[in-house]
Amino acid sequence: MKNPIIEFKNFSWKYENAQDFSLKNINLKIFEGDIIGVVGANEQGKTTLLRCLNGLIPFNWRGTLKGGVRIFGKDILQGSIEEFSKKVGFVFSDPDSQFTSTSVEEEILFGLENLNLPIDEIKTRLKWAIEEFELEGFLSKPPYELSGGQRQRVAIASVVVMKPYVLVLDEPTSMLDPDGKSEIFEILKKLAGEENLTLIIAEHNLTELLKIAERIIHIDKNEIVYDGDVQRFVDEFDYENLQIYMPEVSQVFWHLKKQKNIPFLLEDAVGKFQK
Amino acid sequence: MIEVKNIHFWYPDGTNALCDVSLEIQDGEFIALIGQNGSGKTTFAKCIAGILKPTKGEILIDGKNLKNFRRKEIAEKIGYVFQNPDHQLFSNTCEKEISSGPRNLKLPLKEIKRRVEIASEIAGVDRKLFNKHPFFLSKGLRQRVAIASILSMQPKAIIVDEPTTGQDFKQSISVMEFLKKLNQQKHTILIITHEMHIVAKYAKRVVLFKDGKILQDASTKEVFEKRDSLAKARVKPPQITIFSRRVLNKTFLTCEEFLVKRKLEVRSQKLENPPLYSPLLKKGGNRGDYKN
Repeated sequence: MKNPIIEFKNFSWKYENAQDFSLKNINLKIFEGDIIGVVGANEQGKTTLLRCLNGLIPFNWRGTLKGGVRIFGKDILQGSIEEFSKKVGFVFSDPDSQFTSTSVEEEILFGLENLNLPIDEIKTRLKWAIEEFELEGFLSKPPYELSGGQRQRVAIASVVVMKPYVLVLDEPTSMLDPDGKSEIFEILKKLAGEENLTLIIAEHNLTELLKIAERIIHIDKNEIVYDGDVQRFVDEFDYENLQIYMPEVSQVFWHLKKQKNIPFLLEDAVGKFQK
Repeated sequence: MIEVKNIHFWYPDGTNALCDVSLEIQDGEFIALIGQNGSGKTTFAKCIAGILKPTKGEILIDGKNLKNFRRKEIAEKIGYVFQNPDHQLFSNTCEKEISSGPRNLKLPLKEIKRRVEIASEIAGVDRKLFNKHPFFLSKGLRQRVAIASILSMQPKAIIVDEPTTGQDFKQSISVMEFLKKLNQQKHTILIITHEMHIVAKYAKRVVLFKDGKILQDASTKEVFEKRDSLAKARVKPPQITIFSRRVLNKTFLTCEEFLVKRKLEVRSQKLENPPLYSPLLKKGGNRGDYKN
């Protein structure tokens, strides 16, 4: 049995001045190489859960903590946000909110310089990022002149060059047009495959998310109500009370009274329908 | 009625955002403007709302040139809800925010109060929030406050830029349902969105933008049927539309349509070639019931 890289034990969190707990009694193990989709309606605790993964909670937010979180074996209260951030990178939904520089190149270099890496290493990583994220054409451009999809690509690149083990993304495509959305999910798929990066993605667009996720965590009313593989999630989902917009092919198959193995990818659905 | 005649728009940095765009919008329509980021949708909508002035061309509202309107008159004709609610919220309580429009219109106090109540009820802004600062609310709620503050001016046409960004499914549906309700009360609704399933479900007419020009302007179904122009504008129709085309060679816009029409089709196929003991016919099946 592998050891989990992140582990929550009976964890609860209440923000300062809030009346209720934003997360209640969370027990969760995340393993190396997991590709996890975090789903659920707004205000149920998705973002709060993500903030606990690199120490943003409890170090940047005040509140009451119960139980514990261990990140790479270290108790969250014993470490620091700097330490955890080296292992767990974080990408926000609005790429503009994390840009600090006036050119794409500087943006990518910002994190590396802060890690105090030797110049040679910085050069190697920059070169890698340019190839991996296809940034060649706009290195000297300011990030705000790029399209939404390109901007989010730069934001992800600037986190991934720091070589974290885990990449956390909070609704990475909500600000993007459909083209930009597909672009980001393709990049993520590639990263998971080539770099063996552990991905944890909160997302409303399940049609895209389910193309890459291998495990789903469903948060509802501040608790984890489902944690398991994608197929069982799609099969057991409450389609009567559509809290989350499931892929349309899944909705149709459920209504056609397919009880088990409901498809969630287009190709799969076309195949199954013709049978 | 809104008539847009050959408008062009150049941003100060030289970007040509609109190039010879014309469009006629009748009262009571429900239109979606779609296209990639940077295709000109938002610039176009802002021109109609009088927020931006077209560099060339003219816009007529009920026959009168938009240039000759006073700001107050435009506000009564067209309301514009920004994509980012934070770009329009400025008051320190929700009640002040929602009442700011009617106050500027110098309406009597009683009327202001009435409008605030109606607007906040339709937009789903609870009375309990009236004394709260908008910036401490969630994004979804801030968007509702922004919409309520436009509704309270009771404009004839309402433009909403990305009504569902960052909202979850239930919230998106509730925003759209109330836009639908307003549309039924004869308000013209224009939405700008990337969510094609929302377009498919609510819009009756779709205007597809590409590089500052209108590439398609037709009923929602017609636009989603034209695969080549969608591909050219890099817009994907809803998954169910692609699916129904692949498996039934039909264009269905929503899951509901798929389920209903597919059933009817299976039935009518059965009726055209009825099996010897068709249960449908045994029930005294009246062929007419299953047509269409």
